[in-house]
Amino acid sequence: MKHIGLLYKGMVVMILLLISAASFAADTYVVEIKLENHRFTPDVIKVPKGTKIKLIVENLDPTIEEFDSPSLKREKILRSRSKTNIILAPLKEGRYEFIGEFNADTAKGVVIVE
Amino acid sequence: MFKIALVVFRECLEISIILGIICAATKSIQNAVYYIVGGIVAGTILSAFLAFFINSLTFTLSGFGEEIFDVLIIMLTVVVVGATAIWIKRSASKMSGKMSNLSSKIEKGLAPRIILTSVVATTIFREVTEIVLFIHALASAYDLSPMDYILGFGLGLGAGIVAATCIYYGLSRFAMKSLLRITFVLLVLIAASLASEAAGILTSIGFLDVYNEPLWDSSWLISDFSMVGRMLKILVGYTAQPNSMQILFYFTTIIVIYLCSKFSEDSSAKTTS
Repeated sequence: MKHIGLLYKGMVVMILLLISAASFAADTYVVEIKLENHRFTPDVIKVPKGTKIKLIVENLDPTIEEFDSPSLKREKILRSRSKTNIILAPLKEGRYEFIGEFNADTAKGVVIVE
Repeated sequence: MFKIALVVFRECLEISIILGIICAATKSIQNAVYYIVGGIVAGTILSAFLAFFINSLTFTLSGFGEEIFDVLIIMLTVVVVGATAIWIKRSASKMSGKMSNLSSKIEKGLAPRIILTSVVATTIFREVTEIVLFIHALASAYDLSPMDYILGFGLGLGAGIVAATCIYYGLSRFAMKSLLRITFVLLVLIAASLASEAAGILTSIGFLDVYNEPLWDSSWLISDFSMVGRMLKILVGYTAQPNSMQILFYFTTIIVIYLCSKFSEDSSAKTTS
């Protein structure tokens, strides 16, 4: 079982390296989004390419929601009646869809990078 | 009610698949079920705690606390799933030569049992927190009758158990030796999928800012949000727009687990001969 210990230690070292290697871009493009009645407004979000993006999602519903976007590679809990920041590294041009996992039939939107 | 059932089932799916595989792989080990149940209980208690405290928890780490926490939990799961796979491979190699009567002789010692409990607990932990949060939020927001909850939750959980049972019996049809081989491969792929998910989060938050451009987009073929997409994501790490870093993490995990299992087999072969 000692190889497993080695595997574990390797993973920990790797993660620590990643955290310490964090880099932060200076300019951030900020977008505010509201979630009300399980719908995002705006649901089409245009952002410039090559810039860090900060989505401030305000959940006005009394229920919790989960922001889920496989293409943005992010899942984040949106607590009820509160704001959640979703900070994204600069993106390449394209369409990045997202949904509210718990109300996927109504809560959906797209980030368009151009 | 059906909405509750659907969400519960979706969150249960990953647990069902992993539990089904692990139960099948360990079915001949005496008392394995106790360790699995122990893992279920531990994971459920931990996730209920997290769900309870999540509103008062303030994550810092420059706003990425939750993401880092997720990545750490995912990587921990990768390690325990990988360790389980290695252990199963070891058991399979020890079996060569002996034809039958393997029950309770597969592996002795405490370590494999701790691994067994942790792999179940970490899998449960990742998903049950969301179920608890979801149900709790519904309960505080709407005046639903208790019947709606019980039925919704029961249906979702029931469907999850059915899925796990199908996987268990489907795998149990194989002879023990090929069963262990198949479960090894499945677990390695699951570990690799999880590692690539972690890589995705790390590129998304900008901690890794190389190899982060999507390589292709196959969402026209299989959407990430479809049931097929979700199943494939759990089993083989499917995502419609993967980036190079995810692919790198995926194959590195496969290679590392494979090499570790080779070393482990060699060392166990030396001690038994």
